[in-house]
Formats: sequence, C-alpha cells, structure tokens
Amino acid sequence: MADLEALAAAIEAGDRATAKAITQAAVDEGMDPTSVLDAMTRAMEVIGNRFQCNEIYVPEMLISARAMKEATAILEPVLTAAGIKPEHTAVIGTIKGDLHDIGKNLVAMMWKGANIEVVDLGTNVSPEAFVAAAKEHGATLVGVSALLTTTMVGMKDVVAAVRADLPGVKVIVGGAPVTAEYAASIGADGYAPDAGSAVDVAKHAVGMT
Amino acid sequence: MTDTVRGPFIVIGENIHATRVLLRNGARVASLPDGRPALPFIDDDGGAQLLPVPGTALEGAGEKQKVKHVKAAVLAGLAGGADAALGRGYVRFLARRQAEAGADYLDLNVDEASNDVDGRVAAIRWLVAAVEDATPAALALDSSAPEVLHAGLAAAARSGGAPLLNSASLERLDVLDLAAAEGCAVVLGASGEHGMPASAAERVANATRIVEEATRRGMALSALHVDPLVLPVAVEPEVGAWFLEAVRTLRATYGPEIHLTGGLSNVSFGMPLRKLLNDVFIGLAAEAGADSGIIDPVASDLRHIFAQDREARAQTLAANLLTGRDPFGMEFLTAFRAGELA
Repeated sequence: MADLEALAAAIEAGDRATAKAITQAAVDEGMDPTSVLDAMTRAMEVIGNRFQCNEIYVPEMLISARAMKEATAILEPVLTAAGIKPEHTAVIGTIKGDLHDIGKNLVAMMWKGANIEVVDLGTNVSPEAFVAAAKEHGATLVGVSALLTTTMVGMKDVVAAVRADLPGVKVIVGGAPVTAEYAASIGADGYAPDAGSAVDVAKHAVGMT
Repeated sequence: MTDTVRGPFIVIGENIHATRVLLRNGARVASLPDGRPALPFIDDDGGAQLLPVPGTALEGAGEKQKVKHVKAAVLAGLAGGADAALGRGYVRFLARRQAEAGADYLDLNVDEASNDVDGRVAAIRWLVAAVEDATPAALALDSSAPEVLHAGLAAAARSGGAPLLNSASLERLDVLDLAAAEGCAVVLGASGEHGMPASAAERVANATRIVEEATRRGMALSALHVDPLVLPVAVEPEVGAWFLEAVRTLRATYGPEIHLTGGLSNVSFGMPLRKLLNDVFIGLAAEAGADSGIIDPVASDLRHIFAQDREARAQTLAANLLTGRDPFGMEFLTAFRAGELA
C-alpha cells in the first residue's frame, strides 16, 4: 500500500520525484483520494508552521509547495471523478496600482497547500475586478496584497465593494506596510503578516478546522 | 564615496526609513523607569539621551515585539511638546551614523509614518528640516507618493546639493518631470508599465526606454541612477544573475557617466545570513559595473566588502546562490544548518 507517511515526508522535504511516485502508486491502488490529499495538506501545515518559527526559509517553503502541486496534478482526475472539490475558493491579487507580487504569490501557494482553491488575479487588481471574480468563482475568500503605502489605502475600497455585493465573503489583507491595526481600521476580516500565517488567518475567517 | 577597484562607489544610505524596526529586547532599545521602551542616542553636543517610544510605533507583543524606531522619532517630532527635540536629536544621530559610515546620500522614507498623504507630507517636511544640516551628505527623497517628493523638495535648503529623487519609472514619469524641472538627480527603476521584468533583457529594455525619456527631458547621464531592479533570489533563483547581467550590458552601452544602482539588500529577503549575502552581492554588483547602491553603510562596510576573501567557503556559496548556480539555496542552506557559514 502507498505509504502516506512517506508522501508527507517527501512533501516536507520538497522531494517531488518521490511525492509524485507515491501519489501515482496510491492512485493505481485505488486508494481513497481524500486521505492522500489530507497527507499532503498536513505536510504543508507543518511547513507553514516551521516557516513561521524561522526554522525553514522561503525557498524551502517554495519547493514543498511545488512538490505538492505536481503530486496533486496526478490526484486531480481521481478527485474530480469522485466529485471532491475544495470546500473553499479564494480570489487573490495585488491592489490596484501595485505591481509587487512576491508576497501575494507566496500566500496563493500556501492557500493551495491548505486545499483552498485559488484563483490568482495577478497584479494591479481593481475592487470591481476582485468582486467580479469572487462572484464568478463562488469565492468565500478575497486576498488582497499591497507593498506600497500609497496603494495600500485602496484596500478599504476592496473591503467596501465586497461588503456591498458579497455579504459573507471574507477579506484577508497583507503585505509589508499593512499592520493588524490598519486591517482592523478598514474592516478587513483578517490580517496575515506572512505567508505561513496566512493559512491560519484564512481558515479562521471562514471557519475551516 | 568609497573607492573600489573600478572607481568610486556612491552610497545611498537606506536606513532613515519609517519602516525600520529594532527588536524590543535588542541592544538598541532601552527601558524607561516606568517600563516603556526608549531609544538611546547621542545628541549633537555628545550627550546621552533617551527618546520614549510611543505605543503607535510598537509592533507585535511579547518576545518578538518590535520598535519602529524612525517612525517613533518622526511621530515624536510631529507631536510637538517635550519629546519633539528628542525625536529630532534621534534622527540627527542616525544621519551622523550613516554619514560617518560612508553615506553620500541619506535616503529618507516616511511612507509608513502615516496612512494618509497629509500625514506623510508633514512627516517629510519635518524630517528634511531635522536632518539636512546634520551631516555633509545630500538627501535622497524616497517615496511612492509624488506629493511627498514635492513636499520634501520644497522643505530642502539644498545645503548638500539638490536632493536625489527615489524613484521614477516608466509608470511614474511625473517624477522624471520633477527631477528635470528641479535639477535633481534621480533613481530610475526598470519596472515596466505592467509588471516586474522577468529577465536581464527586459530589465535592459525598460532601462533603455526610461533613460531615453530622461535624455529627452535634457537630463545628463551623470544625473541618472539606473536601477535594474533587485528581487529576492529566495523566490526567483535567476534574479541576481539577471540584475548583474543587466548592469554589465548597461555599463557597456552607456559608458562611465551613467550611475548604475540597486536596492541591493532586497536580494537576500527570505534567507538566513542576510548580511553575508548582501555583502557578497554588493561586491558582485560593483564588479559588474554598478557604481552606486541603496545600502545601509552601517551594516555593510564597503572597505571590508571590497577586501573580502572571495575564495572562502561562505563567500563562494553565497555567490553561487546569488548568481543562480545554487537554485533555491539548497547547498547554502545545508551548509548554514551545518554551521559552516558562521
């Protein structure tokens, strides 16, 4: 039987060859795809926690996420056939006027690792575009990133647009100049200081356990 | 300016920024008798002083609590009252430290001092007036808001020469207009209208276009500090190599007059041993033809950097990581964990 402990270890180590091989074996054996996915999600949770504790660094988080992404691609057809979909969808992008996307990309990666469907809207996203995409994809989460104080102020417009059109949808904000106080002042549902904590913040906001 | 093997290197001292933090429990933060944090500094007359830190300049709590120290000084200065002189004294102390360590420009950034433009305008006015005559260094005004650059320029007495404007780009040509009109040197970022360049060629193409825009406005090459953009190698392994290649190409194209610069410490974001990586990257950039850098000269001593042993293991592994020969730093991180890079 495919060894899910070894799968989790391979994801944690960023060993994509092993992660893919074990996932393929699990698929071939007809193993319950949810348990395979859970093993990977748990591994990414470990990675996120280690990152928050400064035990690992950004590139290590990246290669773990890549290993999971490639392994998940093998699992995808089985999940689809079984009608298993992520419970939550997030749309994410950088705020209008801001082209800096490193932080946003890291958060998108970690959300995917937590089995949240992520629709990446890229950079320079207007409040209207956030709302339209959230509607189109049935998102329960909107993630907004800013690197500049001058663009950060546009976050309150995203919060306002989501509140006006999409009651119940949660807005998570982050990025270098953003603080918990600022996030609270514009009525955001969550503030993530880094990509590791963004998962916990998102889960908390939508009541995922 | 510090002489490299290739010639003088202009230091745009990056540390008078409202973003900058110190650890609450670190050596540069003290406590008042009532337990509040305070920032020790030496005033203009050589006296030891303490600047109390307002609560709004604290971040986080407990062990990991941080003090936004420049923001603390700016807020104290703007609030007036008893602590205003201490805020002024503190930023003058920082300015002297930067200049004594070799800063040719003092890069002033107040973007995180306030969430609204009026607050930032007031902050830059105060900061310019507070530090301009503290050292012989010229000022660099660093903001993503044009209003702040205008206000900083208006407040400057220009005792050390016209301020350097940081920065213009293809999406911010208004800053180029301002630099041309005011006779200021300017940092030109190589970002495009729609995003960050994803190769050396794209950096060179964007830089070439913005240099053309500057030349069309009558600016001399010697007034331009072109920044081909430094991004973290932790996220994009090739980005250090792209920057260095762009620097080599631009130096070959434009000759010795133009300045080539960069926010060189960005390269180490997300990695351990940032000082080692920054120092090695400064050396690599200078070797490629950069003659200017937005760096912290207090942390990165250029005389030491240009004399460092490039063959030593730590320097070699750092250079491999910085030039894309150790993708995702696996070798670097393994050596770091084994304690081989200390």
